[in-house]
Amino acid sequence: MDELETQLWLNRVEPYEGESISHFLGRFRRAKGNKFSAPSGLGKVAGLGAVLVRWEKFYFNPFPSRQELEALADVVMVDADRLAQMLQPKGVTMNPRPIKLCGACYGESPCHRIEWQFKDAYKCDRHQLRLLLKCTNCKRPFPIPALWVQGECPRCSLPFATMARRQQRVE
Amino acid sequence: MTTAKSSVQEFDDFQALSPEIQAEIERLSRPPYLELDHVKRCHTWMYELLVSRMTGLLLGESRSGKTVTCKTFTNRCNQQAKTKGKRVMPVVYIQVPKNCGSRDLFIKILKALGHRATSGTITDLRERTLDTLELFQAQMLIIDEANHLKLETFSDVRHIYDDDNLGLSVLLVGTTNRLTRVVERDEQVENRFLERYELDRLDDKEFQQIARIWVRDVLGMSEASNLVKGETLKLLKKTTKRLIGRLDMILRKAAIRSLLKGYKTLDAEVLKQVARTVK
Repeated sequence: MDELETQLWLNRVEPYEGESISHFLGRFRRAKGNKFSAPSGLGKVAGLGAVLVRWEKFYFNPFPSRQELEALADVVMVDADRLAQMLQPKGVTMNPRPIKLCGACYGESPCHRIEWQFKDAYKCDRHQLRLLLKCTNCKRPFPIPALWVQGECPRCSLPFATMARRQQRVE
Repeated sequence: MTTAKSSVQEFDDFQALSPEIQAEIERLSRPPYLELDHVKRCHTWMYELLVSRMTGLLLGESRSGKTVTCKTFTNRCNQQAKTKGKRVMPVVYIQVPKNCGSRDLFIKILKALGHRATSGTITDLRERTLDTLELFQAQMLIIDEANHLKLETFSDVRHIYDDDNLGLSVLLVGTTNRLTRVVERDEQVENRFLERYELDRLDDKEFQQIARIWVRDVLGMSEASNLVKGETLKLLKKTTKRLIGRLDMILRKAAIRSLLKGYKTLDAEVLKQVARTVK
């Protein structure tokens, strides 16, 4: 117990269901008592260097190794297998750009879901809505999920959840 | 040739120390702690500060026991508050390095709290420190050697104290003349650290009492308690300047030297010898 206590030095952040690694890392860095304004700071602590900068942008080339995930798992106190679920599964290609969003999902659970970034994903399977590629109001593309602090468009401040109203239904 | 041989001979003697004596020496090399009356009084004052969330200055001459007093107070409070599975540290004690800037200050606090992320921009460090202090439910921050703080670092100390979320009590510790000089440089600091407590030199009665207790309990040498009287006591008083830290050093040194010379207890002659060599 004592050993565990001494290891607890950063604050654990509970991952959301289906959350992407970029969104999770962003939230973890901003959590109370953690406070890393840049991903490189967290990477340094985890002994991963600048790798996290790329992960936050969904650039997974080379693909995160088991070793790297375990090093990160130690620091963020989330199981390495759980972290692996925040990446794309084997055999699935991913597009790092544009960042996609389903406003209806975001309204239910405020996080960016990894499945939206899959190459073939164009609609939300749960709500049968077309995924958004940019803000419905100012037409600006979304920033990387690590930067989603308020859950709104950084330019026009339209909340992501509100954007669901303008999403097209796809059958 | 002869000198070389004799020094080897001496070294051999040193090697030949029995394990018991070696263990004794090792025990004596570790700083001891005794709950003394004047320390108790100081702890009461510190506890008052802690519960009222006020600031204060703890002053005293060099070797008057400030650091030991603070450390034991910290341990006591933190031991009491220890609960399983929770991270609680009511009292945070740090000793700041020379020319301590804001970055050093925050890193010291983070390290005292067991935080391993001690790099980043100064803004990151500041926020991380304040948040972590709050998370650990810190109630008091003790800054030892506070006279080493840079003038501009005091604004961060003030900031920590003024933070409403924290409601932290801040205690600056340092040598009387140095710390007061530093504090008086800035009226904003001076006005925040009004209350002062001074760890005095021991008075005659206390000194004799403490020296006796020290020989008996710290050194653990029963026969030696009658050493502390008459001429030896006078000599001790003069050389230690009635400061507890100096007393501790001299007595321990004499005890170790006695052991090395093969005496079983603290030897009166050795004690006098050590006392005489101290300026």
